[in-house]
Amino acid sequence: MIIKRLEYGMLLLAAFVCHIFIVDYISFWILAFLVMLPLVSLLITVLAMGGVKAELIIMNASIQKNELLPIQLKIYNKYLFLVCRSRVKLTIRNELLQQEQTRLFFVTARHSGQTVEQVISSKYCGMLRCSIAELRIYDALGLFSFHKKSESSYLVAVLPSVYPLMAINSAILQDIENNITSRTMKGNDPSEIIDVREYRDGDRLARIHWKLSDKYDQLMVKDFGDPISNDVLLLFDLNGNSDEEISGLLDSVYSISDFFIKNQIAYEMEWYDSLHEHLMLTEIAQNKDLGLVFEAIMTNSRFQKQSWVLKNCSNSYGHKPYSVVLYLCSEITSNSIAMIHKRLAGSRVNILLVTDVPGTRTDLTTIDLKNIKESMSNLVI
Amino acid sequence: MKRQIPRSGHGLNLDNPSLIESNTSLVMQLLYYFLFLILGVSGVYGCFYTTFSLSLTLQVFIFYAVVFCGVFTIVFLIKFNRIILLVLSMAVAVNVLFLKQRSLIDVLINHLTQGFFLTYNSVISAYVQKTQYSFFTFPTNVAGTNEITASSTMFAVFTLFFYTLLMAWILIRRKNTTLCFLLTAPFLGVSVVFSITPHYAAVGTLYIFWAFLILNSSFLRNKSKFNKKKGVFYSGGKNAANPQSLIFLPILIVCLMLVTVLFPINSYNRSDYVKDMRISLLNVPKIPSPIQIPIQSILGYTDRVNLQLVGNIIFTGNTVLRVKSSNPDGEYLKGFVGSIYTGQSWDSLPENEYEKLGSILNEWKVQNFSSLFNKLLGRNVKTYDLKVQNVKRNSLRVYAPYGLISRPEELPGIDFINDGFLKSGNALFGTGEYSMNATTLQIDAWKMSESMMNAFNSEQTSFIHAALEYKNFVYSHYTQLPETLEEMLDQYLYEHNLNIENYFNPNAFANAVITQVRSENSYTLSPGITPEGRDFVEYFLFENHKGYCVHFASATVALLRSAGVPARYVEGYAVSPGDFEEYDEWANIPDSRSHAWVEIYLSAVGWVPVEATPGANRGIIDHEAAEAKTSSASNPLDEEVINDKFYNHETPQTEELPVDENSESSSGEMQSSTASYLMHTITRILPILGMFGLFIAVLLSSRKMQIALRKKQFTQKDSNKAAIAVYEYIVKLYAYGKSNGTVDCRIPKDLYNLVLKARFSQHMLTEQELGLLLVYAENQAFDIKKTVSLFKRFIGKYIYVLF
Repeated sequence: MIIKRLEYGMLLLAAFVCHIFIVDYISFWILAFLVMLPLVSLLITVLAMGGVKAELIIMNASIQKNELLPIQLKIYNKYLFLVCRSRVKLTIRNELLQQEQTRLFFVTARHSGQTVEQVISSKYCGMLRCSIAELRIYDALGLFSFHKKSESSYLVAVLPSVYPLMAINSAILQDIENNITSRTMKGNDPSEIIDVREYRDGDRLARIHWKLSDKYDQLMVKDFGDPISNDVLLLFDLNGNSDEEISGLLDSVYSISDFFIKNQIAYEMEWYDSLHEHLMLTEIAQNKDLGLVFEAIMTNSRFQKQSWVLKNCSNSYGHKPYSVVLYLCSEITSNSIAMIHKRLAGSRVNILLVTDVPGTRTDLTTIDLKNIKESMSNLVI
Repeated sequence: MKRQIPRSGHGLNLDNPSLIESNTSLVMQLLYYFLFLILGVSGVYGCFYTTFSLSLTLQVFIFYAVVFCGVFTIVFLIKFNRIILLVLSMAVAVNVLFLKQRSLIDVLINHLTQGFFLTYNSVISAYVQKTQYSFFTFPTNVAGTNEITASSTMFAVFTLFFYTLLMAWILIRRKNTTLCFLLTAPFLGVSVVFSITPHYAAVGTLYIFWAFLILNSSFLRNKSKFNKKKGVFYSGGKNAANPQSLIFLPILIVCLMLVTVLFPINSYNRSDYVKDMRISLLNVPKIPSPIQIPIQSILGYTDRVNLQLVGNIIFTGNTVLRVKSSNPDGEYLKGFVGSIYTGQSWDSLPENEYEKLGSILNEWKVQNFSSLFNKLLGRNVKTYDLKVQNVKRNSLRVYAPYGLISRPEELPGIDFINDGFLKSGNALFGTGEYSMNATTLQIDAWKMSESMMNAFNSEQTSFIHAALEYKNFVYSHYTQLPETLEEMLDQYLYEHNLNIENYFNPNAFANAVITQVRSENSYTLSPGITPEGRDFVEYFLFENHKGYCVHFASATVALLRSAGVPARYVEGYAVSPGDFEEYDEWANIPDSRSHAWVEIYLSAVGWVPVEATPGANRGIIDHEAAEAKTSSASNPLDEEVINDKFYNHETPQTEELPVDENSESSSGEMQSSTASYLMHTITRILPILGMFGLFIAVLLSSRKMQIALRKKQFTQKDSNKAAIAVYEYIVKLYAYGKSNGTVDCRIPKDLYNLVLKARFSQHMLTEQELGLLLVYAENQAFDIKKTVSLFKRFIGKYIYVLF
C-alpha cells in the first residue's frame, strides 16, 4: 500500500508541476481530476465494505494423516452494485504441535462472489484450526485499507494412524480376571449362556441343551459367553522431542485403544491436560469415547517437558490394583521406571518406549517409529 | 492421477490455491469490456480529430466505432475461431463501407490515400502555424467539403479498425492497463505539444477512460486465474471482468462535471501562488541548454510581473535579440503589458473583461489601432519592415513595435493577446524569428467628435465607433489602483500641484508627472527588494527613492491612473538607430536594453509609449551615466536614505556574472539576480555533487539488494534450488578469479556430486550438505578477494557484488 501511495503521490506531484508550468485550463482539470479520484475510490470502498463477507467452507470434520483436505474460502459482497478488493489471511494451525501456515489472498469482493479452494494435508496428527485471521478491505486505487472483523473458524481433526496389533491378542487376556461376560463374544464361561443354536460337527457333548433338543426334536447346543476385563489402564506422556515422536506416540496409543475397543476390552486412559493443568482419567468402552478423548488431547499444546502422568499416577482407583497397566512415553530414565513400578505395585506394568532410536534401552518394549507398523504388529505385552 | 502436494519440512503442506469460477455472466463481461473499449477509442479519436479540426461524418464514424468495439469484444471473449471471425468482420466492413458505393480498387487507391493525405496535411499545417517551420505536404486531388469529409471519414474508419483491434487485444486478452495507457496517452500529448486544446468532451472521455483503467488495474491483473507475487495470491483471469465497477463511470462523469461547474473555464483564474511559484522556478540558476529548453518550452507565457522579486540587477551584455529594421528613428519593442496593479504585481485583466472587448472590436485589433488611425486620417507616416530574431531560442515573447500594420492573419504562429501585446502561438517551441510591418507614430492627439463622423464612410465609421467604444473601455479599465495607494497618490499630486485640468492633453500631463518623479528619485541598478507586504510604488515614492526603469514606470503609471489618465505598464526592448551603425543588416540587442516604460492611450492614435526613466532617450539608457547623474544631484533625502535600514548601499557589481539568458525573469524582461559569485559557483558545484552522491547511493543500495536477494536464494526452503543457486555463485566467482589468474577454478568432486544430486535427484539435499557448499563458496570468495588488486576488489564488491 505504501508503494501505491508513493505512486499516487508522484502522479499528483507531476500533475501539480504540470499545472504550474502549463497555464491552460486543461492542466487544472487534470489536477482537479487526480485529486478527486481517490475520494471517489474511498467513497465506493466505504459504502462497499459494510457488505463484504468472508466464509470458510470445510466438508470434513476429521481426516487421516496425509489425506487431502479441501478448504473453500468464499468472499462476496451482499450489495449488488458495490465492489472492492479484499485481502484475506487464511491460517491453518496444528494446535497439538503448534505449527502454523498462512496464505494471503487478494480477491475481489463482489455480489457474485469469488471462491478460492486451498487443499491442505498434514503429515502429523493433531487438531487443525482453520480460520480467517485477517480480512482487510482495499479501495480500487490501493491507497486506503480498512480492517474488517471476521470470525470464521473451523476445527478439523487429523486422526492418528491405526496399526493392527497381531501378537498382543492372547497374551493380554491371560492375567485378566473375568468380571464381565461379553454378550457377543463366545467363550467358555458356563455361568453365562449367550446363545442356543443347532448342533454342528465338532461341538462338545457337554454343551448340548438336552431339554431343548427334546423339545425341538433336534440337537441344540449352548454358547457360553466370554469374560471382559475392565482392569486395564493405559497412560502416556507426550514427552517426545520431535513432531515424529509425538505423532508416533499418539499413533501407538490410538492403535492400542482401537485394539481394545475391537476386542471389547473396556479400559481407562490417563493423560495430562496441559490446558487445564491436571491429570485426566477417562473410561473408554467405545469409539465415541475414544474420539472425544483424542479431540481433547490433540487440542492441547505439545509443550510437555515433564512426565506429568508418570509422576502423578497411582494405583488407587477402584480400591484394587489394575490388572494391566500400559505406560507409553518417548523418554524415560531408570529411576522413572523404578518409580512407576513402585507406584503401580500389584499391577502388571508394561512400559512401551516410542522412539526413532531403537536399541537404546533393552529392558523396555520399544516401538520403533521408523518401522512402526511392524513394531505394533509384533508388540507383545 | 493422485494429486501431489509439494512437501515441506513443516508438518502442514499447502497446495497452490485455485480459483473457482465466480460465475460472471457473459453478458456482463461483454458489457464491461465494450464500455471500456468505447471509452478509450472515442476519447482518443475525439482528442486527435478535434485538435486538428479534421472533418468527419460523425454518424458514420460513431456507427463503425460501436460496431468494431462490439465485434472485437465478442471475438476476444468468446472462444471460437477468432481468426475466422476477424476475417469475416473485415470482409463485412470492407463490403459495407466500400463495395456498396465504389469499386474496391477505386476506393483503396483514391479515397483512403486522399484521406491519409488530408489528415497528414492537417497535422503539418497545425505544426507550421505554431512554429513557422515548413514541412512537406502531400498534394490532394479532392475538392469540395463533401469529398474531403468522405475521404477523411474513410481513412478514420480504416485506422479505427486496426486501432480498436489492438486496444481490444491489449485490454481483453493481455489485460495490461499500462499498455492501454501508453496507447492512448500520445493522442492527448500531441495536443499539448501543439498547445491546442481538444474539445473538452473528448478530453473528459479520455480522462474517464484513464481513471477507469487506474481503478480497475488491480482487478485486471493478468490473464491467469491466480498470480503469486511476493507470497500473495492475486485473482485474475476471466474473473477480472468486474461489471460492478461500471458504477465508477457515472460517478466519474458527475465528478468531472462538478469540477467544470465549480471552476468554469470562463472565470478560471490561476492562483497567484501558482503564478509566483512558476516565476520563482524560472529564476533558478543557469542550467545546461539541453535540459533547459524542454523546461522552457512547456512553460507557457507568463502573464504577470512579480514586483516583489524586483531588486538589484546585473547586465551581462549578452545579445538577446537581433533586429533588422528600416525604421530610422529607433523604436520600442513591446513584449508585455501590465493592466492591473495589485501593489505587488502587474497582472493582466481577467478573461471575462476581454470578452466584452471582443464584442466591441470585432475583427480589429488594438495593436493595429495606430496604423489604422494613420490610414483613416491620411497621416503622412513612414512604413517600415522589422525582423526580429530571438536569440533566446524557444522564447515565447514576441516583441512588436508600436504602429503595427501586420494583422493576425499575416503573422502565422503569433497570437494577439487581447488589447496588449503579442506572444508566440507555440507554447512548446516558441517563435524564433518573425517579420512584421509597422508605421511610425504621429502623436497629434485630438478628440473625435460626433460631427466629424460625417466625413467618413460606413466602414470607417464602423471602425471609429469601435475605437470610441474602446476608448470608453480604456477609461473604465486602465485607471484602476488599490484604494490606499490611490489616496496617497491623490495627496501626492495635490501637494505637487499636478492637476490634469491644467494640461491640454494627457501627454503633457504625463510629462509633468514624469519630471516630478525624476526630480525626487534617483536611478540605480541596486535599489534592493521591496520589503514584504509593502506596496511597491508606495515604497519607491515615499521611502526608498531609488530604482530603475521598473520603479519609475510603475510609479508613473500609478500617478497617471490616480489622476484619471488611463495608463499601462510595459516591458520590452528599446532599439536605437545607433545600433545599426556598425552592421548593415542586423543589430545585436544586449540584455541591458531590456526596459520598462509607460504607455498612455491617445484618441485617434492608440497606445503610445512614454519614457519615465531618467537618463533614457527613447528607451536607451546609459546606466552608469544615469546612476552617476542622479547620485551626484543633491538630494536632501539621500542622507535619510543612507541611514535607512532598508536601503542597500551596494555599488553596481562590475564582474560579469552569468545570467540565465533563456529564463523568463521575475520582471519579465530584466534579468535580476541577488546571488553572489560564490553562491553561483556553489550552485554549479551542487548539482555535480548531488549526482555523485546519487551515484554512490545507487551503488550502495544496489549492492545491499543483491546481497539480500542472494541470501534469500541460498536460504530458501527447497534445498536443491538453494544448492544450484550456490553453485551458480561459485561459477561466477571462478570466472572473476580466472580473469585475474588468482584462483584454481575447480570445484572439488564431492561438492560437484552434491550439485548433480541437487539438480537431478528426486531427493532433497540435507542441511549439512547444503552447508558444505555454502562454506566452500564463502571460502572461495574470501580467497579471491584477498588476492585481487584494490581496484578489482572494488569492482568485484560494488559492481559485480561478488563479495
